[in-house]
Amino acid sequence: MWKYILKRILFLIPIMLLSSFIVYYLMSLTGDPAQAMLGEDATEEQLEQLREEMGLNDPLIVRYGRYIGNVVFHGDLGTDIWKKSVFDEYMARLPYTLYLACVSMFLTALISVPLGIIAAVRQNKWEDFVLSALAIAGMSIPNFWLGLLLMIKFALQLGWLPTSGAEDGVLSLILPAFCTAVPNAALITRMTRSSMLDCIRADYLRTARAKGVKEGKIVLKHALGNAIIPILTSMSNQFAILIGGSVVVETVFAWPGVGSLIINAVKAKNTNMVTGGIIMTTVFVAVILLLVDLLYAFLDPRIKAQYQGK
Amino acid sequence: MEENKDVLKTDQPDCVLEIKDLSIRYDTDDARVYAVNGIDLKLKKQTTLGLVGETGAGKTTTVLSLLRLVPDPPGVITGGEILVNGNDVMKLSRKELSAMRGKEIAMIFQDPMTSLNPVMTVGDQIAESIMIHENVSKEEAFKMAQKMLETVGISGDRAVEYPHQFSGGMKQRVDIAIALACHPNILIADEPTTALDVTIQAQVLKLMKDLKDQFQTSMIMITHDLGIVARTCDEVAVMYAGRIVEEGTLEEIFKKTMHPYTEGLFNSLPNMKDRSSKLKPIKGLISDPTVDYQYCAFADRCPYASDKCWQEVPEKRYYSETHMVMCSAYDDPQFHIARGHENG
Amino acid sequence: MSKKTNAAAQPGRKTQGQLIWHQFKKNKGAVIGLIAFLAIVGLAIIALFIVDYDTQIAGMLIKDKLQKPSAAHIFGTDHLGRDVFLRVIYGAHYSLLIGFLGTGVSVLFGTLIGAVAGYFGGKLEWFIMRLVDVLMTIPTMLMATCVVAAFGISITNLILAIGISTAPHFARTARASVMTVRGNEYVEAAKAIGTNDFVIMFKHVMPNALSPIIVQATNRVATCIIAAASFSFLGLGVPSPLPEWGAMLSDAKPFMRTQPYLMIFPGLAIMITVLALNLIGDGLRDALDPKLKR
Repeated sequence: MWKYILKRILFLIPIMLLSSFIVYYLMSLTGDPAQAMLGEDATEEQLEQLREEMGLNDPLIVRYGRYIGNVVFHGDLGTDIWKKSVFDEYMARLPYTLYLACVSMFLTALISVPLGIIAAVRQNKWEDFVLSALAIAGMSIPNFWLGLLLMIKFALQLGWLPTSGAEDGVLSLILPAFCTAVPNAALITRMTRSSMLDCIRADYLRTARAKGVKEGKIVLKHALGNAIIPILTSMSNQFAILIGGSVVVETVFAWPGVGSLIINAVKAKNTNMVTGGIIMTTVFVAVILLLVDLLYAFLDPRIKAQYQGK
Repeated sequence: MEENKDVLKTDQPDCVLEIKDLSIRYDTDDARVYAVNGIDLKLKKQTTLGLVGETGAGKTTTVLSLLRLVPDPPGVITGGEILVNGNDVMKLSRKELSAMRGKEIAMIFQDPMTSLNPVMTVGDQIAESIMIHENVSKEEAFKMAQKMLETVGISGDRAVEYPHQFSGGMKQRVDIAIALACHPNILIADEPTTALDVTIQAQVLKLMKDLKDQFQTSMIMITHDLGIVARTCDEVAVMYAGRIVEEGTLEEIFKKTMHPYTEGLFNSLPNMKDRSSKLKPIKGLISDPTVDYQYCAFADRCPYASDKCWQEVPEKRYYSETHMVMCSAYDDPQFHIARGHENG
Repeated sequence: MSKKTNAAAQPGRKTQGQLIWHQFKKNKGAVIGLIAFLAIVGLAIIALFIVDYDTQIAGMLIKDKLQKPSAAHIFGTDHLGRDVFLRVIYGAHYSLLIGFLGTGVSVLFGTLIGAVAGYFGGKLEWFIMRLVDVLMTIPTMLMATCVVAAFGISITNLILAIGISTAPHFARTARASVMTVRGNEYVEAAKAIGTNDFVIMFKHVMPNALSPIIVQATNRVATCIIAAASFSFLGLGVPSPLPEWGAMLSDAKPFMRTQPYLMIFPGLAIMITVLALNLIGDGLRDALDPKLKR
């Protein structure tokens, strides 16, 4: 088992290196950092001097190697155009993104799993019809638009919630968490429903009924026990996407997470920050996905057996 | 053969299971399927009844209805009565039904690969049945489950293992263990060995026979394999297109075959004595289940068919207390089929 | 009675396409989605002809600023006096363009390399799938951000960015699909008579492997439209003053308090388009599914 875990971790390293290289390369195309730092009035000499200092004239691979070396051995992602440590800035904001992602995921799970089960059990009856219709509508709503609408209603018009920032504790969290949760919940409701339906048709449920197991237990213990595995896959994928992709919602609500950090950096042409931010987020997401994958082995005895080499 | 008109099928007191004029239909989006069309069946105490017929004859639907497991929708029971140990199954409350399933009557399904829950240990799955019906603690139930595994020839230590760790034959044994865990007096086996290798088949059949004797269970064995029928059954009912066309004791069916379809089944078996002789399949295709036959469903495949076969549903005739045939050809008392009369 | 048993024997037997359409029609939601979608496309095309660029897009004639919805302007006017309704229907074509082209890019590259990987196996497959793994580790929004940051803000770059970031997903699906079909016997049969590998791949394998891709692609168009709107909203997508729906939402932000109606319509347009696509996607999936599974 541990051999497998180690293998996965080791395998992750070249993938991380390659993906960070791709990001680094793309960001190197964005323009001259020296120019960005010195501004428009800088002379060619000043620019050349700064480029030399920063090592910008070296070949790409060398620059990349240096960059990665710094990251791995010194935890240093360089400095941004305002001379602040990229690493420090990122780490300061990471907790906010995580916090938002967790709360959003929690809301999603809370709403969608029970609704999905109900829709499956009452298949083709009115409950299913209503829930399925709501679900497909919900997953079509752009989350940032929902956020804007809710902001208009609850923050601007009613004044119950703050429009932006994270100062007001839980109240600040409500709108961003809710508007990211809605489309995700819609998706998971559908997933739960179809996963449950697959299980409900399964032969082993027939065996359980033939034993005399009551219908409620059939649904909650036997069917859900099997259905939950693909549902968890979807949720964990969504969690990863939330961390990497809540850029827009964070911007809408000026939520001080890494998403808004990266977007602001892109607009300000703050290359190092963008590079560092994207690479850090990528690594983080990859680690989380790996952890989830490993969690699977504990949930599904068939997978567990595979990795124990039985 | 003389029809015995004086024998009435009276309600015998030692009947554990009785089906009276049962009809079941499936209403699907595409079509209406007439799965079971007015059958009568009796299962006597400590007897094994073989239910024989090709795929689609309605055998599985019939036995599912005994436990009220016919999927509803799209299944609809359109008529008849089902009595299990004297109780009308259709009138039971959910609670009573749950209590009956597994305790009075149990079922083993056709495909052992999919009938076990992949995320529960086999011990837990056996114990679950015990805990529903017996008043014991979780630990005791698990111990009893282990004992049950031993009874079916699997080491009790394996109770903590998962279904995927067992081979097909062993999974079927687990199914048997689950079914017999609470010692039901009626066991339904739906083609229990079809999905298994021939060598394993023999083992499983022997196991079932031993357990049947040990627990004094009555059994309905569904199969399309006459060899299995010969080895395990005391009585036989032959089904075609949702009707029972012939039934009787094992000897009556094998030695005194009367229905053309039954004859066709026997003829379909390769002749071991004359290896060069041609195979004799029943001509034509299986009947269309979407048709509500108001005449004999076998008519278009029957070598003895005449006009009246297309006009009415054949009568049920009794040639002994146990031997029944549904065939209009026997309106003529001189009529006989070729089988059993090859030598004149 | 004979309808069921003799369907296959009838001379006027339906083609695959007809069967799929027949199944699709049964799903009322899917049909509504299709009608709505066609209506949107229709409006978008009409808009290209009737909307006057100077007034409604560039906003050169500023009059009737910030009017509430009325008979003259069904959705009202914005801060430059532009009719919101006209801008919304004009804006449709950006979403549709980016959605379809972006997905097209994705499908093209992704399916191609995925199919090649799945079909040929071995080292080639290993190499391609590792590349896919690498690309997939970078979250799609961030990947697209990278591309936009690197190549600049324009519609073409947006299409490329979205396309590249979602291509790996198609590669995975295509590979899985091809591997399933490859194992089928009719491929063996084609090989046995000496058919060239590429011919096999295009003529036999891909048509059958296409179903999951079609379903996924329909889904993708919807997510691409939302992604395009998101980027435009952030100022990294379709540039002002073009009335892409996301950009319109961004324009409406300063007026949230006073003219909230400006925020409603562009977003609603996104939602309806995406909903229509999702309904179609569901219908397609169910229509193609019985062919695969049952």
